[in-house]
Amino acid sequence: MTTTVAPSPATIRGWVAAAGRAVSPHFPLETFIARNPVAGYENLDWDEAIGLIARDHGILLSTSEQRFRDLHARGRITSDDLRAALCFTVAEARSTRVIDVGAAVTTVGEVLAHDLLVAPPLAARSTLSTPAAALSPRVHARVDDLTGRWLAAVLGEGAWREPVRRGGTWNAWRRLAALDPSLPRRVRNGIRNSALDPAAAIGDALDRWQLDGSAAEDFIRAHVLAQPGWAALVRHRATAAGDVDLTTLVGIRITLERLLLPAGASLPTPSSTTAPTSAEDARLAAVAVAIGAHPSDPEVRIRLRPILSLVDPAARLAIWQEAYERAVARALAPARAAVLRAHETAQRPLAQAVFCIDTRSESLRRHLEAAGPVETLGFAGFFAVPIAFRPADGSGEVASCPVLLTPRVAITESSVDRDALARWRHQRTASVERGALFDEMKESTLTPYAFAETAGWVIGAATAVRTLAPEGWRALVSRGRPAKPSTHVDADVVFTLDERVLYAETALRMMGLVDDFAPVVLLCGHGATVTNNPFASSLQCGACGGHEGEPNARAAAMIFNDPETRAVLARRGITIPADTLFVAAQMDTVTDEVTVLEPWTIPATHETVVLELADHLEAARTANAAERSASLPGAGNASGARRNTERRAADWAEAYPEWGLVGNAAFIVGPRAMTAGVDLGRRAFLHSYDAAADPDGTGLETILTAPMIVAQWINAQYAASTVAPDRFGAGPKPLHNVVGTVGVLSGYGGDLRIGLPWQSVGVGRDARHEPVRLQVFVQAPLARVNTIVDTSEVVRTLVAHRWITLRARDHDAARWMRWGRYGWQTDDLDTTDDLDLALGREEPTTKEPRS
Amino acid sequence: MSLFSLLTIAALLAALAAALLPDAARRRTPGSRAAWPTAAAVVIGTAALANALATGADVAGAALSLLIVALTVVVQAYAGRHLRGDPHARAFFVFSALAAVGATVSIGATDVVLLAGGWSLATMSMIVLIASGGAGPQTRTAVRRSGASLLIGDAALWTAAAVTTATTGSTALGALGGLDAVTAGVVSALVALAAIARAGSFPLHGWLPATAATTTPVSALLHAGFVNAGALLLLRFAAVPSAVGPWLVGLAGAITLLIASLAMLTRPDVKGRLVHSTAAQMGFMLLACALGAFGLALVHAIGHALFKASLFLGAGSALQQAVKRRMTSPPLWSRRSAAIGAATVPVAALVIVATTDTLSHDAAPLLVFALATATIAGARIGALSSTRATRAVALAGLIAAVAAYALVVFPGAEALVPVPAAAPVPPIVAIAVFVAASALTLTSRRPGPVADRLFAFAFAWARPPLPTPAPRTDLLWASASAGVPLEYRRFR
Repeated sequence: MTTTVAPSPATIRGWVAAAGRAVSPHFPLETFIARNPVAGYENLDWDEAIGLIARDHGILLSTSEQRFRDLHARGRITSDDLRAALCFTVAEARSTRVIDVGAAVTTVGEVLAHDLLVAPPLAARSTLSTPAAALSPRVHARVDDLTGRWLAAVLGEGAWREPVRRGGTWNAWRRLAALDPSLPRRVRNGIRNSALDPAAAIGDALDRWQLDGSAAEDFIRAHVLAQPGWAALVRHRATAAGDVDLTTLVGIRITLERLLLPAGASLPTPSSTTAPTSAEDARLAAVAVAIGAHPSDPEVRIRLRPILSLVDPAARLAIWQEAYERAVARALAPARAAVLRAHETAQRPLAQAVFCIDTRSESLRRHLEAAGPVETLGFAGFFAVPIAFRPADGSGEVASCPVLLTPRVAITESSVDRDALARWRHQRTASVERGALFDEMKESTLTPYAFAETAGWVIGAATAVRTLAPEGWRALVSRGRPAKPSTHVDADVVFTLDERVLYAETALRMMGLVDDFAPVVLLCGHGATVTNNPFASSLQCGACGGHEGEPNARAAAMIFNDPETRAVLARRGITIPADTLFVAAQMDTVTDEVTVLEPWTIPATHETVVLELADHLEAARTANAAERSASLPGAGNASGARRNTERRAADWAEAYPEWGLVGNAAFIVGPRAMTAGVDLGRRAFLHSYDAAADPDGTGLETILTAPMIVAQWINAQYAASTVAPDRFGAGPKPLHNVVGTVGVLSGYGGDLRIGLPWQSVGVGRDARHEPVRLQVFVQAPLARVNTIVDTSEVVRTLVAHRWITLRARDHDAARWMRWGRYGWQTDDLDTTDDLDLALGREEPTTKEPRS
Repeated sequence: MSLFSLLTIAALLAALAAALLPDAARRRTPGSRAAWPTAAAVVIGTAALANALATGADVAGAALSLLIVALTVVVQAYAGRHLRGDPHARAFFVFSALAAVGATVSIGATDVVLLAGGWSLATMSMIVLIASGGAGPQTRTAVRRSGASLLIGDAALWTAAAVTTATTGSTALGALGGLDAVTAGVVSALVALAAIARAGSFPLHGWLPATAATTTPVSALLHAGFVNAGALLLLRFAAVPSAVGPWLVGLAGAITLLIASLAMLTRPDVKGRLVHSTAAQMGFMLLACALGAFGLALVHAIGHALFKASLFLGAGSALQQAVKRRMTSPPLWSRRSAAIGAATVPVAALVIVATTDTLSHDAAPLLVFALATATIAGARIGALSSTRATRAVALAGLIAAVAAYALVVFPGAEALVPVPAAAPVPPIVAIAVFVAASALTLTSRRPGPVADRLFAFAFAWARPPLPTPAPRTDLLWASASAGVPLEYRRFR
């Protein structure tokens, strides 16, 4: 190569930032945020993205074609669905024109259908390679190892971390790595003499390898993606704390690589790949044999080649994925009513209960409705109050709202019972101090020996009890604690009247609850009680930023019960009757127990209603626990299900406390009436919506741009952790090794594991989660949906690039229309009913133009 | 071998057989079937210990034997829920029972061949247990590293057994006292090597940190019931009249104690901290053995086993604990109350020691560690934010603990294990180690170039390298099983 002008540090930083988009930021494990680990690819069509991810990451972020074929052979994917998916994806396949291919007579659709079944599958192989990976895999592993250890030391919490923190990450690394006795002297000197700025150090390496332009960008990209977990964490850390950035990570990696590789080594010239043509040949031959033609006949090849060029290997996966999803969409699509459903004016229900849209609410809602005259609604579990929360026990503030939002105000929990509050606080302080004492004793060069010798006997007894009788241990521990005093939150003070009205009206209009209020409206957040589980926050409420929903439910109930707020709401057309009480509650998703959070605020007038509601909740709990625990590994018989769930919550050995949001597949927006009584198997996010209550459509816009996006994140996270457990999942729990509060390693080192553990998506060698893209069903005027898709870039991107499937209908009796490439088109979801023929209302392919 | 040992072994073999039965009914898992026989082994072990205490027989052996079976029953119960769905779960139950059989055999053995046989059975079982972490590359490294180091130890033990048998013509342990000087030197060095390998001590320290790449229940068994077997081995060979072994063991223990405890402080990952903590603790145990304080070593081994099993099984809580610590502002230190708290302990201890004859014991220098621990704990308790009364009670409790330790545990342990070492190392070694450990603490707290050097050294200590990715010859096979975690794939 000729000498080129060295890129400036700013250019290099730009390249690093661009390379960083190949992984989404990873939130520290204490606030696990489920999201698409490769969100940076969402501006591409799904299949294009799968192809590019295969080349960048070297993995297939989709169910493999062999597995799809297996599912087809077993009947999970029917031939009809496969055919329909093919016609949906490839317009030419719809043609019925007969073509001659050698001895065989066939159609384009048939050729492609055979192609789906016999073509050699897409082999995911990274085309990016670092110099070390190309020259010496041993050095590559060493670079991974040293970088990973260093980042763990910087981002984790070792007892002695002052040397690592002093002077910033890059400087500390240069100072300490130059002293590392495990490195050769030449390397240590090189580190000592490396550039003072990591970008300049990257420049030095580019110079060393004579790389420029796109080759330099690929080189940086290869280094970012060598350990995607650390890169993802550093991306988050760079914005949250700013003490380390991706440039530093890449700088460390390539400086080590430059120094560890022999001084005279030069990059191998990239070998010209002849593989694609041979793969094409194999595919052609396989398809020719499948349709009964002779594979070596040149005529056959000439005929087949243009047909096969309609579909590339990644597009084939898109067809399979579409076929796979059709059965799920059919099963979960709300049915079509024979006639337009009249607005219900039945008896006033005992209560209305608002649950989080979380898929786990679905079955409890179903059982609660069956247990008594209770209506249920679905709404994002933070109840539209974006807050930070300061608990009464004196622990720090936590942001309790979706990560899409930043809380502007903090709500404080306090109590008028000062003595009890002091005892409660002291209990926490004392426990933290005991923990600190324990840590200091066990982590020192002097004290651990006599300490282990004496403390061990007590701790050993506790270990035996905890293991052999987990619930007994929990009861024992809680008996020793002072009772939590009656507390209240100050949501009525920190929010102005305008804000309170705004939050209240938004929430009520979004969920369509504007009239017919029941005497009690239960606002039910959720949390999960688990023990000894680093992934606890992945089971908490995603709408509350990976925390339990308790503070938000309490703040929201307080706002709704506020007389001033109600007065303004009434002027704005929403009259909450004076006898309606909003009650905050929380559902424990492990035990299904619903706890009223502020029982001391229930007035005598509502006591009987609340008690009656509690009875129904108990019945629903029993039924739901039985239904849920049947699918958990190690389940007993149904009669012991409740105790079993309590044991799981308390057990420090339990790897499967609950199934979380496993199986999530659909996001259904509309009145509960359209899904009521149907067993959706905890596979759907249910958001209540009534187009009539939301005249200007802003409610729907919020639903599709906020809760739906969060649901898509969750859906993409579960899918990625299932199909690529080694790269985008955290692997089996028993191997986890917690690093600080940021994440886990599988073993003593290596890459930080991102995503969900295998125990969240599968059992043993079998996946439990079905990786399907989010199927969105919206019951609202199509014109309104059009407007939102057109104005919201994030929604349009997901829909147009087929990361989600959007279906809508105007009302109960209309058929589902699907957003296709050229506008709304009919779907075959409800072909089973013959209503169309009876009414003579055969739909054209395109019903309504976009906007 | 005593009747109790034979009964224990029979119960453990029954557990092993139960774990091997095919899963017939849905709820019966290898773990649940193995539970009852193992529990029976615990009952037998308890009876054996009671018998030993009553008759004054081998208390050390009976106590260690009970520890092993009790740990096995608790960890198996834990694993029953923790390893749900794990394809290697059955292997865990089978080989954890087998490892306990091996340990029981070597503890109950009265001749060197049986002892070495049980020892090797435990080693082999443990290597298989480590491999039950799955097909992940780090687990394979752990298997390779632990296999190599442990087999060196086993080979040394078998050689020692062969040399003893050839020289004395008897396999009985009782014949060891009659070895001539040269043979005794060789035997004691070989036995020292076996104990050092087991304890993960320098220079065979490389394998223990790699075992963080296996499952949590295996780690709990390994750190609680496996690494400390060296104490029993040294006890059984205490009669060998040579100073070579004690010096080797003492030096290895002292070096490991100092470096590993420093390495522990640099580790950001919970299992990394725990493995180095174990290495340091085993260093302390070896040091006690070298000083001839077998009773104390035994108390330490059992206390540490219970301590470390708990910490490993609870390793998943490390994250919540770190969050909790960070969310709370550190308590305000009051220098005065800390000083008062710290001062009460040594004053009380001096009174205790001055009025009794504890100091006359050879291992008495090890008491400085206990005393320093109590003093630091006293300082912290003095500075707690609790009420003055609470702190006074806690301090009183601490002083009582010191008194109990110096007056009951220390002499009691030595009395229950009345095995004199033929040639212990001089007590001054313990004092030197204590001084060095204190110096390390002080240096690490003073930022500067010296601390940096020390940090870099400790940070690099005993870190297993990441394995080089193997060339992908198995691409077709691997893609066929994509969607299954690497750890659960089958070995090729």
